[in-house]
Amino acid sequence: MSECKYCEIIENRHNLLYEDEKIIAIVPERQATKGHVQIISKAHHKNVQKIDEKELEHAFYAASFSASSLFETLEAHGTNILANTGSIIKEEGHFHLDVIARKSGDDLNFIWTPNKVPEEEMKSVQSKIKDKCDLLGHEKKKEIVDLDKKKIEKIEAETGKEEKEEKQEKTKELAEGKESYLIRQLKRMP
Amino acid sequence: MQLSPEQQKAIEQQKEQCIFCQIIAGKMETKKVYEDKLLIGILDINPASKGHVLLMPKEHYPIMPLIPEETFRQLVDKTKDIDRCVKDAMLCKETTIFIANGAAAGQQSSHFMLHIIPREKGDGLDMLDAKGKETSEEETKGVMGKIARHIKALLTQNLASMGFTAQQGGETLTKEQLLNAIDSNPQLKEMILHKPEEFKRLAKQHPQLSSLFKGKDLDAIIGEVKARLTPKKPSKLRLDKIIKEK
Repeated sequence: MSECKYCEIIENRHNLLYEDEKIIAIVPERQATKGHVQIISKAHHKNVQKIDEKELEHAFYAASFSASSLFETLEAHGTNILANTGSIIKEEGHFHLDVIARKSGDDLNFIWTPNKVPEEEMKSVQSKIKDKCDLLGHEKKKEIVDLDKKKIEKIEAETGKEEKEEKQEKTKELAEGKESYLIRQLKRMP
Repeated sequence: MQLSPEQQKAIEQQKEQCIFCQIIAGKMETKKVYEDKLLIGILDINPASKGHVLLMPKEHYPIMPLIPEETFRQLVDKTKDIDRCVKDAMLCKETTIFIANGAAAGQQSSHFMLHIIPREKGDGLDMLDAKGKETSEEETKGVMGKIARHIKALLTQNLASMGFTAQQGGETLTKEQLLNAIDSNPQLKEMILHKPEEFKRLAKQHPQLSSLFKGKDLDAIIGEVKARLTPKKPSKLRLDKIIKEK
């Protein structure tokens, strides 16, 4: 028996709707409303940042198609897709998305009371987030440059080795060459 | 998703009045945090919490199913990156990714967007955890009965044709699988039977349909779908003949 709640859910396949190598889709035991589907990533990740992009796209597409399906089969007026990231995933170990069918006047309310944040604070928040986002392109470039750098260093190291060996050989040859020339000279002397 | 000319026109009208299209065109002030060829990320001016970011395609799509593949994939990839940026900048360990398709779901603007909302204990946003309530086996069975067949067919065909699963992974589906997929989609079936030319046009242009029908002989498919319905008629006629003869 697995200790991970979601590993167990995946193993049990209770109320299974769909399964493939990377994800399962189920109707969860606790449902937010009539028409609640959960897309669960099979991979056991403690950190959402460790999920690779293809896996994430797979899960989101599954959620999107599930939303379209619920819209048709349950004649929903709308759909919500929600996912928690961070500490909850850390505890539960599996990235999952909730897809919820909505009807006007149902007893769900996802509309929050807006927080009024003063202009100065908004500017500060903007600059903090933007600074991090600006590094995104650079990080990817840096990765490529680092990889290239490593390649170049490796080549240099190998070339350097070869050159050194060549030099040693040449010096040896030269030395030998000099000797033989002297010996030859000696031999010619009467 | 099929769009009628009226729906297309409605979207064009939406665009003209869309605040976010104006923001993207640089005609309105905004607090931008991210931008690339396809997407833009801005701070929500009525945030659920500090650091609430709206990530959206630059192009106007009212709902998620209408977003083309390249943009959709970029949106998902960047959600992961920007989510990390928000967590680092706001020193928070948790966020909620929130999408609303349709006004009934809380969509407040006709321009599709994805919300990245920083979370912490006691933030009053517990409803976003979608914890749900205990549901009886009976009720669950009722829902499963309505949705299971359709959702399984849709996910199987679409995820395979997009290359997410190894089963077909972009390779051609068998005719039987394709016909089953059409069977499970009444709107698509209707279109093939009554508007074959429009179906052929959409099969080339529409993102999901084009991947499903890639490299297929569309006329043959139309013929097959029609043929599946016609056997009923002859048997009825035969019965009539038999009764008359008798």
